[in-house]
Amino acid sequence: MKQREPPKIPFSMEMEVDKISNLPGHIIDKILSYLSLRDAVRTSILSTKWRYKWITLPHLVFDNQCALLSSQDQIAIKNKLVNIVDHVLLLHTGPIQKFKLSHRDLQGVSDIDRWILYLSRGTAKEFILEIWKGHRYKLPASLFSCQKLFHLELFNCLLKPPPTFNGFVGLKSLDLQHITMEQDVFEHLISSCPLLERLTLMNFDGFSLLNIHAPNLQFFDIGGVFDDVDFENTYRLSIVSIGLYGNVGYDENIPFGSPGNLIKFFSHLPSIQRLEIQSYFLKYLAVGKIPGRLPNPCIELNFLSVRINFYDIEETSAALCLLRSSPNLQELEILARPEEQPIVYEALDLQGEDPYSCPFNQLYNIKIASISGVKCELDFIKFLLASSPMLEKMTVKPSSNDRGWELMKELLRFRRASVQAEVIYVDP
Amino acid sequence: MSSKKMITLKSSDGRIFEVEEAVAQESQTIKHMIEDGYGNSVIPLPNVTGRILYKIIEFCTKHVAVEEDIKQKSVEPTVVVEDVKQKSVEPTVVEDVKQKSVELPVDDDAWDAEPSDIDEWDAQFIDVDESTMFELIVASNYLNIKRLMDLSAQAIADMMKDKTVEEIRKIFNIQNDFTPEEEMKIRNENSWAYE
Repeated sequence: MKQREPPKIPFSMEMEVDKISNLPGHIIDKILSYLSLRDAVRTSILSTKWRYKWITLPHLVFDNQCALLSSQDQIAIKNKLVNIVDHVLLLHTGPIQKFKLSHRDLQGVSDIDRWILYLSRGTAKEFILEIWKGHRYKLPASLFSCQKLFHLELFNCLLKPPPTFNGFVGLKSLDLQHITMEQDVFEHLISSCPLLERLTLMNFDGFSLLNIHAPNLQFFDIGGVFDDVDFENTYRLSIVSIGLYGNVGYDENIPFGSPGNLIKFFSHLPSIQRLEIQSYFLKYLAVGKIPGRLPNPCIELNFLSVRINFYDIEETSAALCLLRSSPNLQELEILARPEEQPIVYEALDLQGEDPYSCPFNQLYNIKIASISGVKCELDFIKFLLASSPMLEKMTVKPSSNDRGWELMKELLRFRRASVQAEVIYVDP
Repeated sequence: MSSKKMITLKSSDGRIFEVEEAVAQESQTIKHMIEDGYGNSVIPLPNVTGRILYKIIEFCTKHVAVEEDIKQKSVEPTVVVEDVKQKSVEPTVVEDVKQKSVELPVDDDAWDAEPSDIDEWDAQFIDVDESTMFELIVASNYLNIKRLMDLSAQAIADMMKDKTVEEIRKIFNIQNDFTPEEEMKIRNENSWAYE
């Protein structure tokens, strides 16, 4: 929200009354909750009435705004931050609904254990901990007894719950980035949070098989290095973004007759609406058998973004299979993965592709980016233009202007199924 | 097309307003009254003046219309991914934290984040004088309209942000009834907040 300036009109008689100090406590709480903790605590000096208005704040956020530290001395900084948190927690009263600790200079000190213990005695619903420096912080056992949590967000932590841990019964949203945990801990965590709706996993280690058993999951965002993704019972999953960050070589010895990764992946995603396939994930999907179309079309899919290596015939086949199986696609984004052009490569023959056999009847917006202007890319664009009778806009943004003119000449020439279509060349 | 049920509301100063049921139900208080069977007669709101009730109805009408629009277009679900993407982009972590994976740059352009029109409308709506703003927050609290409460609370908070204590006292006409000694004592207690 834009910051409001105080009124420029002169104060009228009406304004001389102090309207704010007598507002009910929970309205004041609400107003103060939109201020930084620092600004909220400063109100204690406004008047005697205001002295302890801030102590019932339901949200406590300790971040860079709390302590403006000019010192470079790590010990001094740490002591100061620890003092602030201890001080605030001691004065605070009433339920703490949200606790966030995210100061750039705070490392994983043992004082955090003490604060989590304090929180675990209450009814905290949101817990966010970001350790911006130093080693992974090992979470204390008491965190795992915060049974009222519905949102848990951790950055640079190590999770090793006690054997008595049986999941977070109310957890709806889980955001784990730069974390370490073991395979069985991961699986147990996911499957023992029955209400989980949102899951974010970025840059994790300690586990490499993503077995996701989450009947209520709707949103799944993951980026990291893993060997396999296995959804089970994820019939409500509608928004997925997956990035496989490593070009891992795949075992070509797949049992004959088993469905490839592409079929396996989509078999448990009947409700998928928005899908992003990033980094090398398309390569993973292209392992194994790639059918012409999926056995069950993705009828709900309206947005698709794919990072693709156009020189890889398997990847292009997989992308095509997915496109053919998404009759209701409205927006498409294709991003080329910058790869060395191989000396010899097999390109998919798209000339034979009949644009009338699977037109994209809902596709109105296409974005193409990071391409170099080579033939296999152009063939794909040509195919898209010929198969999209409802297209309104196609934006093409190459990675460099090197073949700009050639690219533009080709684009100009391609037949368009839609007379409305604008084809826009964007400078890189 | 069936005609929509209308609810009659009466402000503290006797003004009568007829609103669609869906709009009236933006207020949880009124919604409960309707559920309890009072929807067929005039619902009195003795704590809300006509002037403020008018504005509140304007707010609720707009938001109900926006919700309808969204449902009809079946635009992407309320979960917005770009919020998460902000965090997913590699934060500037100091070298100490080992980077286990080599990642390709996440394409930020991928999903354009446009400021939504309703946010702009809300900003215009709440751009009122302080007196009205306070009346709105009190009324939206009484009528239990969360979105309006949040909007007005945020607006009031914005007026307090990054201001000195003196400035805040002046804006809101708060009388400083501390003795200089008391004030100094409190400043020292929470010294970190005053630096």
